[in-house]
Amino acid sequence: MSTRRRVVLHLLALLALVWTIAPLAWILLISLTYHHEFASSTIHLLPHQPTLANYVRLFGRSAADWNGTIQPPNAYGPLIRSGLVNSAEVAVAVTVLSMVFAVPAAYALARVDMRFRQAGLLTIVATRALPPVATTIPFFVLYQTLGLSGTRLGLVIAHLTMTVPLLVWMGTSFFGGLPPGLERMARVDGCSRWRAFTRVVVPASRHAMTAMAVIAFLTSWDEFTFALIFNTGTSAQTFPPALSSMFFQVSVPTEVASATVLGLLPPLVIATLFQRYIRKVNLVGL
Amino acid sequence: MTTAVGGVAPPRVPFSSRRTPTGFGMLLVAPVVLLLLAIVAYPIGYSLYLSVMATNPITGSQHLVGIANFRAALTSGDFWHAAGLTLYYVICVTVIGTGVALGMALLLRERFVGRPVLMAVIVLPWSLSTYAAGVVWRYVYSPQYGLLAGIAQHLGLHPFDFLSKQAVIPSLAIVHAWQFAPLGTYFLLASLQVIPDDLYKLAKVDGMGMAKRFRNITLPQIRMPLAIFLVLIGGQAATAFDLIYFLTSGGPGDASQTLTYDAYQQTFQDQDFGGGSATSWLLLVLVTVVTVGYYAVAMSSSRRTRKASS
Amino acid sequence: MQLTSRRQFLKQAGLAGLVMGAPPLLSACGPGRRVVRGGKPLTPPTAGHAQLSMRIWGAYPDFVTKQVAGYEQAYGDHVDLGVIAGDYPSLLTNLLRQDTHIDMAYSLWHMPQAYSEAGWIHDYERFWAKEDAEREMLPAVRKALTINGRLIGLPYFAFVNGALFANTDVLRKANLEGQYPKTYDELYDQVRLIKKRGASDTPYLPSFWSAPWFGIPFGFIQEALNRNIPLFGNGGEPLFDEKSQVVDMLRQWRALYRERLVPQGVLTFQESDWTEAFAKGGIAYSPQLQYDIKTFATPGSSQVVGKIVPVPQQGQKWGMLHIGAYLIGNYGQSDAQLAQAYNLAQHFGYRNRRTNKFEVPTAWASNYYLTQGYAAVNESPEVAAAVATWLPDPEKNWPVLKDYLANPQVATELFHTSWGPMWMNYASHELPKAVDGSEDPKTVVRNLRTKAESLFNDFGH
Repeated sequence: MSTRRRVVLHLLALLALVWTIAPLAWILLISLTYHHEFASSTIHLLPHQPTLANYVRLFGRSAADWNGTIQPPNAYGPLIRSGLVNSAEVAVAVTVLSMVFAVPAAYALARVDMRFRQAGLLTIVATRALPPVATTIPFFVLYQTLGLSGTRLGLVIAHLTMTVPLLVWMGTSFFGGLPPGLERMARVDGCSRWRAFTRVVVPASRHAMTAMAVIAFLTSWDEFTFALIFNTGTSAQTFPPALSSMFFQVSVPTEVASATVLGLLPPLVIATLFQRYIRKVNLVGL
Repeated sequence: MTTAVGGVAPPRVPFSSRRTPTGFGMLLVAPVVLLLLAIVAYPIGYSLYLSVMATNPITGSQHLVGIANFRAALTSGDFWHAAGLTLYYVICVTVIGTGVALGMALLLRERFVGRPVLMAVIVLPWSLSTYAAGVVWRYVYSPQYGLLAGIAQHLGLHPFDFLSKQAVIPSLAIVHAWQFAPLGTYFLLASLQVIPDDLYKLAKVDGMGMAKRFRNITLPQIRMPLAIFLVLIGGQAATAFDLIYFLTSGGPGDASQTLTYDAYQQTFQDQDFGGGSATSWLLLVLVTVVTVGYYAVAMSSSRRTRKASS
Repeated sequence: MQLTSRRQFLKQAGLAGLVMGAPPLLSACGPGRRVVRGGKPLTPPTAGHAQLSMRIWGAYPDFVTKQVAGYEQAYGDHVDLGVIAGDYPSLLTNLLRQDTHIDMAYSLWHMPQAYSEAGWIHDYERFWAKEDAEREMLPAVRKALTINGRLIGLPYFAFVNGALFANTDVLRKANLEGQYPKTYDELYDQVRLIKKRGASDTPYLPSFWSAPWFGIPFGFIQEALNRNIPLFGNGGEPLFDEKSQVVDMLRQWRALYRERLVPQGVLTFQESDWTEAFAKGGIAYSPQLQYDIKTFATPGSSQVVGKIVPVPQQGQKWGMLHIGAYLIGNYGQSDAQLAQAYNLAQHFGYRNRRTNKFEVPTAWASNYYLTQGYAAVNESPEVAAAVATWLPDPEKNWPVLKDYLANPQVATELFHTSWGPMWMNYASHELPKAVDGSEDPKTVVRNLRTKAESLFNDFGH
């Protein structure tokens, strides 16, 4: 490789890194800035006086301001904290239930010689095409009737309607790629269809299933529209609407930044931990 | 990797079992179908119903108007304005998103210091949702306190209004592409990595330039995944909502009022359920056309793969 | 996909469609118009243990939580307090329409006309202290909260939205200290002069040019009314057209934008951006929310501490009265539950029933200068003491603020229509086009009139 080519390559890599990281780094830096410094007439690209005060105050404690005066806890702290807890609960439930529903179905659609295979698959996948705005009012009416609005359960169910078709699709494509003789060997050993599935196919699909679970979690954690319509203003409110109650009000941008970073951490950490699974799976469905 | 869903033939294993294969399969699929029917069917049906009714926003009284809501939408300037913006947005997202995804994939195919780090890091934007990307980028774009304004200030330049009427759609599209491109990168990279290096070396020996090598060797290999990614990102862009809600609320004026935002405004702000539902369904038609196109592409790609492997 | 399987898919999808469309599933959309029962005034509840639900937007949720806790302790009730995020008016409308159990909720005063006509809210005609409360209210507030002759809310706040503030620092640099403009024309001339003299690059911040929270329609309405340009008649009929002076007004807005006298990005500002931009300094004049004097006086948030003063009204008014109300939802609750809701509303929006003092209202005004619908609160010693810490030269400047509240502009004609919010939604996307030059101001005004006419024809007043 010529030296010039190497230099260009590394410059491009640096550019790619900056493009990816800079927006995230910037909001992180702002969250570490005192409002006083942020409000100064010039924009500081690095905080001169970095601080964790915005985070401390979100967690319900007082903290010293830039000049040492004590600032009370952030008014939105309780909303943000309960939002994070609700989001975690909802996302975990959605992840578990999505897998329970989607994995067997995907397996059947991919590997069982059954009738209505394609019709079933297409019907399931087609429900994903609906833009959420189209169904929010009807959903809301339905939820009011069933007493599901303002509950975590309601949100879990709404999220399942998004994650399950997605995972079925991903799973179908993955299971379809497994070697054809897999179950036959199990059956020869005397396993039933179900045992062949649980004992042979599932272990062989660990990585794909990890990726599916991660995607279910992220989809639920990141979902905004349903969470806003169903659960805003209730104790079951998840993080996204809680953040938007801060964002759209008379609020302090440095504090909004710190709350945003808190909400971004779980998906960022999970995506980093599991990225090698994610990238090996056929992501056609996302 | 590129084998797509519908085209995979199931292994036809003649099992002897008390339950027929269809019975067993149905048992596994039924919970999903029931869940979706129970939860999704009613809203879909109701939404269709609303689209053929006129609903008084104040009294809530309704009467059947047939296709009047659709006709009203299709003859209104606002709808076509929104449809045009949606199309413009989809094109911007597709072009920028594909450019970034392909560029990064080509880059990651090479060897360089820090490649594993870059490989791991590019997943980060994808893990965020569009609403979070909107909040993050508000801090990048703001002429008052944004990152770009800060850089401009340090260079002694005037800040630029990224959300002004001329710039708003490309600016939104950049955010969308930033968030969605990593997926495409992974997707394309997998296809690029199966191209043997020798092929490029041979081509070089033959005197092929970089552009020619790309056209003759790289492109044929990634044509299918690229097409799939294009359609995917396009469909996703057509229904984008959170990002616009957080960054511009459809503004300035109606310069970022896409069809989804239009439907939101009719349905929620004006409580015009008929108009909002009709707009949503028209949007759905648009998205469906795109999705069906996607299926067609995916199917033909898998057929070709199978032919090649047999 | 094989052709056969596609046909099969369509067949199945068709079947599913039939199931979805099954008529019994389709109930009427929401409960529709509800009837508000009249009746004798209720008596204050004696027993506690009521379950009440209260919905607010996210302004100082910690403060409200504290007040709610105080109420719960005093009366032994339980209040479920929820903060509604984002697009509050739309979300609240949706909740009320769907019969959600909401005993008390915040609302801006241009929303309740429609709620009241639909029967989604209770009025205060059966509230035991209604006459006393009305008597003590500022006249403009009482009028604003009275719909079809009935009181529909107690005031959550009343302040001037768009009170004109000046940055004395910039004015001194421009050698214009104390020479306040008396009219919008003078203001815009002076703004140009300030830029010419190099005292500021963007001397004017029209905080009401953004779309969220009806920003730009409020800005449009208040400036037109303050310029004595009629917009709507008493019945809500539009009085303006392409020949109206509002066209010139929009041309002036366009010029301010084109000449870069206003900060970049002002058409997509969020509410917090208005305050942030002014607090950074460098802007000479800006119509702001009156209560932000506290923000501008807080060193941690502001670079302009001690430099922000209200511009006196000399003949022409600045800004417009903004009223928040405590509404009571009508979801078919019993008289006993309604009495409990009145009790909660009285605690927040009037005198504490036990102590007979304006406790919560005074706390709002003295902690945040969120002024109230009662002169007794706004001019109380507690508030005077607080204002003295926020305003430079309070003896000169506080009377200016008090004058804003005593002689405010009010847009009753439009805000007492059921379709006002719809018109303002439309205007919030239409008006920016005149500012950034996407559309000729004349066309924009014509469109605004056409929209108002069609809404007026559909819904009447």
